[in-house]
Amino acid sequence: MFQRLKNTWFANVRLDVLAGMTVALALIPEAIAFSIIAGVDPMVGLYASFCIACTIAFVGGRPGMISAATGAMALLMVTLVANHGLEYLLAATVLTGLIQIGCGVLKLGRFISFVPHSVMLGFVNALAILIFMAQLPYFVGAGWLMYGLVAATLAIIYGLPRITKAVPSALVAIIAITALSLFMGFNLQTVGDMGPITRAFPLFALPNIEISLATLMIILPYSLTLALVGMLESLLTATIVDEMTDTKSNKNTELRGQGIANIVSGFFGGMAGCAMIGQSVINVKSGGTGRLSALVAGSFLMFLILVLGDIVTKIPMAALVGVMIMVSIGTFDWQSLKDLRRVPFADSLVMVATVAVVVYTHDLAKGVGVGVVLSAVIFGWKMAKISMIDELLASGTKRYAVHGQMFFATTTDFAELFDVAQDPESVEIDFSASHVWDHSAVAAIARLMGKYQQVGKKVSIVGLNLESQQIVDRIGLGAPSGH
Amino acid sequence: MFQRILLATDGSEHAERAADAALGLARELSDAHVTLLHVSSQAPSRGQLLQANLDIKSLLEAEAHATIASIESKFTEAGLPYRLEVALGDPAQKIVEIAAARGIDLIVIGSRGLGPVSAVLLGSVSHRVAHDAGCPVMIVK
Repeated sequence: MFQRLKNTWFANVRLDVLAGMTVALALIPEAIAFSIIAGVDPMVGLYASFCIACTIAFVGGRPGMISAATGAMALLMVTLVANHGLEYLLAATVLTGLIQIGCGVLKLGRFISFVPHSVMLGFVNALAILIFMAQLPYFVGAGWLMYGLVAATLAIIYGLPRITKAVPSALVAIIAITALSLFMGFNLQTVGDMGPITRAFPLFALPNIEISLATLMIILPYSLTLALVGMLESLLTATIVDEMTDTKSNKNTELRGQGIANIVSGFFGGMAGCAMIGQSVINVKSGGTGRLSALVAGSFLMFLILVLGDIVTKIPMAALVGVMIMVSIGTFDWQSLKDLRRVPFADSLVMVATVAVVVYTHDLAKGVGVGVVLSAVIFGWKMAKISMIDELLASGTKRYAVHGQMFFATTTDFAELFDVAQDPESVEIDFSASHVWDHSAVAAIARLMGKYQQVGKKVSIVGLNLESQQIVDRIGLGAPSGH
Repeated sequence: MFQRILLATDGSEHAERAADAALGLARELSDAHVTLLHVSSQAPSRGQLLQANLDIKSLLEAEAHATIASIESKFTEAGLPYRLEVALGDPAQKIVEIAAARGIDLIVIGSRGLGPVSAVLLGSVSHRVAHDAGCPVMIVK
């Protein structure tokens, strides 16, 4: 016990502390920017990042992974905050945590793969487009100064890593642009205009909402999507961290941990968050592999806000907009554009449809819903195709080879492919390129055999695979002969 | 003496020269065995991960095969058996880690043609490997 504690917490103290501090510096601008996207005060994102990073350090299943307020989650909350306000968001955050704990305990993590890949891709790309679009209002009516500063921010963010990777370039950009604007006395929109920065620890409070079924029905859809997206991001990030550190992690413990962290966040005035791919990679590359790194990241972030809160309010929005544009470029899966022609048309269609619905409705859940339904319909349509190749064997027997799946949707077509009247005395049906799935399929085969028997022709069935044979045996073909 | 040789490679011109050196060395030494190591420093995208069903190793291997194909074929043509290892992370750090874990006797790596200024700022992978590794390192110019 003591040894395990030592291994996961104190095996790597010096590097964990340094990496955690680096991550904290990178977390601050993002936490503020994501709060602004969600439409809440900057403190909501900062408190969330503090609570989640520190809690997950203790209860997470993947040491070295960084979790905090994220853009993916922030975007899911926009309409909830706009229509119902912050208190409902806090309640939804707690509920998200409860759902995730449930999923972790029931070991449901692996079911994430039930969502088709093209829908996930569409979701991720839509996310990137939405983050980008959320920045556009800041340019409306803004002068050349705004454009210039955003461009300067992006130049530093993308240019600095070519010279040194020792410091997070986004942070350097923010410091440089803030210093420049303070020095030149620019009159620009700043973080302070978006809401107050409170230099205090978060306090425990129950979300101030009416506890009723109506409230639950309002927050449940949001909590479900938040829980799902949080689990997906955390699973992806854990996979990457596993590989980078050559260690295994417990995905279900991690899901449960994400849930606990979100509950803590909700009760301390923070929004829901999840694992962050970018920050986790920064952490591991800086040498942070233990639980301590996440704890340091969270507490150092809080420390910086307590000490530097006033300076944070002076950050021009132009710098944050630049950071968000970088986040959106980094989130977009550019590979998927290259793959558009390579992957099957149906998959591309699902991906593009998901993106289109999200961008049009500004609702990620609707896009995912449309994508899933579309995938299911396309899949069903593909599966519901059945064909037959018939040949006359030397022995005078006619052989039908079935190609396609045998299930309720294909049984009608199946029956029509046989020519009972014209066929010879002996018929063989080969199922080796097929699979018998359900009761309807077995019944259809039995009916067909019955028809042949009525005209005194012999039918034999060959090539059933093991599973098909089992279902046929269980249900029975209901015909006196045929085996 | 050098039974287990680790050839760290990124498919660059310098890596090609390092591969030639490792190949020559392995030919001379009768019982040498070469491990090819490719380290990806960029994590695969979400889409790639999902398509691979979270099997990140297969993605890294595909990336490795794509970037070091010519080096692999050099070994195949020479009839020298090799093992391919892949990793994700900071190249220098991973090379040193894997060399230690596999009991490597010699690391062969190409030098990178950086000017004096950017070498100081960026830090060259080969320098860091030479400094941190627990075994002899051959830097091929």
